[in-house]
Amino acid sequence: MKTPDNQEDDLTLARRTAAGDQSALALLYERYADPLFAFICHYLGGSRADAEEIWQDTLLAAIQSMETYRKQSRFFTWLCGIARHKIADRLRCRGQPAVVFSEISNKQLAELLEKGPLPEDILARRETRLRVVEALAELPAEYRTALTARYAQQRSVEEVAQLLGKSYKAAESILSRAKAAFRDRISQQDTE
Amino acid sequence: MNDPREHIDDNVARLIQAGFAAETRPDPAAHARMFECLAYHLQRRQSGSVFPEWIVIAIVGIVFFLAAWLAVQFDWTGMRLNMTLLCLLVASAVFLNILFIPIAIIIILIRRGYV
Repeated sequence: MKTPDNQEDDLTLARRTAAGDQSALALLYERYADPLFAFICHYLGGSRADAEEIWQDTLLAAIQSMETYRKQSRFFTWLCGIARHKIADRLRCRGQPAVVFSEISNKQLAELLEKGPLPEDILARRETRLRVVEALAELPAEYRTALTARYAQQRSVEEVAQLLGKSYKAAESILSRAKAAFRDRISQQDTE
Repeated sequence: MNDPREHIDDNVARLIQAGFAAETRPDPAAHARMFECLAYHLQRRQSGSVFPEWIVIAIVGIVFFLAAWLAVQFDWTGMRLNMTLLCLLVASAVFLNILFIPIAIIIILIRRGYV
């Protein structure tokens, strides 16, 4: 599928950030700060205050070790790895048990997606929500903006068009391609 | 019969609502504050690790001067050096500097993440 590829590569941005380029930092921040916050919120399953602290610790740790990112994984996966460590450290310090996840494969999720209305218990599961965040984070910025504005913020197609600076028709077409790309990502994630 | 694409579109919308709800987004003030904090850390990290240019030029100049002095002291016809303590110190300084060039290159490459 053709996706907008005008985005600068994450590895290049990470290298530029490691070299002190603030405009590269701003681009990475715009792309990943919000999805990372959502990831941590779902992972912790509650406390927003804790999520905010871990989010800050994770981003600061990422800045400190930016030069160690070498595209062995996607940039967002790398960030989530740091966040998982921070969460595990915090739980250990408080003597709380580690977070345990139940299994749901992407194949299962992709099948359920096509079968009929998704059951509420699947939507409420932490694993499902984490996958949604990961899938969204890996989409091109334009697709992610369109999907979150339309569905998470419940904006009209006209408002999405204004947000993207496109015509109504173009926004509709972007939304349709974004949905298809999102479905692809959801069904691919655990095969990679 | 229901169109399966309708289910899919509806499910995608519900998934995004569940995964990216308003309460899972940082508030705009925290978002802006965090970026300022990161930019500050990045700037501080950079300014702490920059080696002033004039020191580099001075070190290179001193090493060249010592190497030139050593060359003048060398007896080129007899191909030998009258090894005084001063000569020994200067020769050590020059050769240690030459020896550290490849080591410095390796360290720089590792720190910048190329190796």
